[in-house]
Amino acid sequence: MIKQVKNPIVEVHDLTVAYDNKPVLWNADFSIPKGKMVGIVGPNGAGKSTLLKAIMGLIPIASGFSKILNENLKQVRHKVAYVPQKESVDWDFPTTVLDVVEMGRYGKKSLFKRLNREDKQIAVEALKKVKMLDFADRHISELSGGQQQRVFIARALAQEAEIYFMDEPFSGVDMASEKAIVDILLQLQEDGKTIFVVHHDLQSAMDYFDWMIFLNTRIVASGPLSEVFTTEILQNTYGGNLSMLEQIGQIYKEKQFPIRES
Amino acid sequence: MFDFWIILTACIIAINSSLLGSFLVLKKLSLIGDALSHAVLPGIVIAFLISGEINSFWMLLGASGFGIFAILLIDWLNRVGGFGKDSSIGIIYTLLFAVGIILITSKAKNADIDVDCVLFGDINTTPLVDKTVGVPTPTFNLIIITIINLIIVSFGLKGFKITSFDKGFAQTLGISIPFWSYLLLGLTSISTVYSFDSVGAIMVIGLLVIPASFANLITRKLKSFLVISILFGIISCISGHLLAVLFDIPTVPTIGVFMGLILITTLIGKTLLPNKLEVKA
Repeated sequence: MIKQVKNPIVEVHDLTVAYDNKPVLWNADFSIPKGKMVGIVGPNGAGKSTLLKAIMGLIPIASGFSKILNENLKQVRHKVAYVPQKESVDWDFPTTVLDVVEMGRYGKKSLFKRLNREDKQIAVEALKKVKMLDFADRHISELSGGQQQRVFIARALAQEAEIYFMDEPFSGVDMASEKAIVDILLQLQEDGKTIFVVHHDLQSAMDYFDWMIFLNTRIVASGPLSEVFTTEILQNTYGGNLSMLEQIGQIYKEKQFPIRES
Repeated sequence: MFDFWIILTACIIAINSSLLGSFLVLKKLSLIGDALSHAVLPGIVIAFLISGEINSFWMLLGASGFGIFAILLIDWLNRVGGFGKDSSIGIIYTLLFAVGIILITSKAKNADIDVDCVLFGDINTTPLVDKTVGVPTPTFNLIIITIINLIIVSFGLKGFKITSFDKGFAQTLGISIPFWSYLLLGLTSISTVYSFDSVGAIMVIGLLVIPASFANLITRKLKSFLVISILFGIISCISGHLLAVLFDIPTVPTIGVFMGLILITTLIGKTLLPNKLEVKA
């Protein structure tokens, strides 16, 4: 079940990505309306990160294309922010928390100019939003996994984009950080931004997202949470382990029709 | 004036190598200096065979050309062949160095190209060579290159920083990764070649790697990292030369031993006294 929409903010058509001639993403075709919090779920190796990287132009694609705001990525780079997996960088690099967040301001102007006062102010505000201002001068290796993730998100906030692509922002983070990150995402959505999140926990997925993409090399489903969060789609995405999936389907149904307590 | 030219030359090389070496160390590419210093040998020999002169402009051109050629080959092996960076470097530099040795022994027997001189250099003859505007020519060339490097790095600091720290993110901002990476390696290639003459291949590698590694031990901010790296290089060259004169031993190896010992002493000190040896600002 793939729900196509009119006037999508992000659309992907026939997108195929292969490593060593082995497809990791096959014929992905979907469209997403503005202002959604989109969860991308699927088993390990389903191509979730690959999908984000392909849309962000970070890896070569075998066929197909994607459009953002009805333009090619190159024309709208400044409207898109990307949060990579936190394992993708060297956390021993000599740089401070504030330094990293200021990198979010690099794109909008020439790299060869100094950041102006407004840029620095935006970086400080972004740090404030993720509740990390007290850590501004700390070296990035002194942070916990959750704090590192929040710094990455602050950097994305500093980009002041319209669309956010986040690769596993909840992986390896403590409860407090997860809560803080969710609050930030909700605030972004309230401001009319569209957010894509690669996620691996189905149970929290139904709390966080209002649009879901189920992925297993192919797009199994893409649509509003209530339409795609079905046992059948879960099975098609994950295969095997039926009982666990039925249980999750059950939990979801109960959430839909909460049992009123008197 | 004799000692002055030697110390000045060594210091200029130290500034240059420490500056570029800092980024190589941060990108975990420090062995690229090793690779370059050996891979340029065929370029030097071929230029000699064509021009028939030693220490000519052509030799530097040949060497720089082969340096950049080696970088392209390493990059190609790494991207297309799927070899690790370290293996790609090892494959290319042994290949090119071996070609260079064969060329020397078969075609350029009469030439006065001494493999030892390529490896160890001869800084103590600096004051005796031809001069350009009153400065020994090798030193003069190095000063020009160093000024160019300092200007490029100070204007491009953000580019080097973001492409070293987070390539993927830099790419999403539309920043060209190949541009910054070839810029750094190209500058390193040219600087390495010009430094050979004076301090030899081994010490060029030492000056690329050791000052930056020292800075890595004691600071966690990029700007102080670069400053400390450069200062460490300069102080080592001055101290090394003075010690060499004092004990009547060769200058270049003394600088090397001095740097190595200071680095190890600092590491031991840091292990014994954690949190004391850190430059905060």
